Amino acid sequence: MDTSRQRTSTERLAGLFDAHHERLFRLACRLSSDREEARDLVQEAFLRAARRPAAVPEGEQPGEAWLVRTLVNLCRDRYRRLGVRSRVHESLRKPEETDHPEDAAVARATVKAALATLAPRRRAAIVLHELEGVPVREVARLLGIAEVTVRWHLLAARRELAHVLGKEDRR
Amino acid sequence: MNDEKFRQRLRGGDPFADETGLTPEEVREMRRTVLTAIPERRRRLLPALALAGAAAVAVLIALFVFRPDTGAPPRPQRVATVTAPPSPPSREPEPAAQTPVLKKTEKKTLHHRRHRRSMSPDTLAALEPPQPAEQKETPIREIQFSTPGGTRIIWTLTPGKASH
Repeated sequence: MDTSRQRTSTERLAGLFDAHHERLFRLACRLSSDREEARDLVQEAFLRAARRPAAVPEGEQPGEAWLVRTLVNLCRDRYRRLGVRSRVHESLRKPEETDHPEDAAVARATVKAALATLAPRRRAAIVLHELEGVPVREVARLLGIAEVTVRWHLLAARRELAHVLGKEDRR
Repeated sequence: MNDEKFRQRLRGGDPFADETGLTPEEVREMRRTVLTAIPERRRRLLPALALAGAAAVAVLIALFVFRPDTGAPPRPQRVATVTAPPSPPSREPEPAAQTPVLKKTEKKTLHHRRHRRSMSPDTLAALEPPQPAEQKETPIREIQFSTPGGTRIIWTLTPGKASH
């Protein structure tokens, strides 16, 4: 009985991994500073599911939402641990040193640095909605928060990003 | 910066735009790592479970060995009746109808102990006064008691004589 339960957990976890690893990696890349960090975050999210299979709700969509929430929580832990805010303000100076602010790479670095100033949940909300095109209701489901909270996060994130990016443009 | 311009700016600088995603090797490695995490965890728990089981068994053994002796019924007293070898015939014949005579204090002790301790039927039979017809054939009897403390009490019952 124990063996069959273990096999069921393994099959279920394999199904979750096959269905969602690409999407989670894409989100992790937008939520983290580099590719390696994104890869670690995705793996850690699935490892949490493996360690506590009972915590992952049954069903495709609830399972996906659980993984997204776990990924965002991992980003929050890392954000707090590394003190990202203070580091990002330093990294924001790097793009402005170039003489070609319209360069795509510089633009990406600027947006990336601006996104890094946001708190993880706010960043997840803006990334899911603006970059991945996920509707507000779906963002709320994935993050496990109310729709009104998602809208509030989106509004605040736009304001903060516009402020940072506008400051960059003026320079 | 209006909403549309903001959105264009954000999408133009999408951090994932220059990413190619995970390579098949990375996916395979990550998948293997994740799927082997469940048995690894169980294997890690095994020593802890074994240790807990051993500790529980040790505690049970200790409780059994050092259990205080409360409320346990007293052990039954061991009573043995040994028939002594027949004594040599006395030169002076004793009167046939003579009843066994016990000292008053010994009678008291016997009576007291009869009430205090449970005695086997053999012992009780030995304490009964012998029948006059069997007087000549009754051999000397010894009654041995052993107390739980290890003390042994031996009574020698000689018909017509005081016991030692």
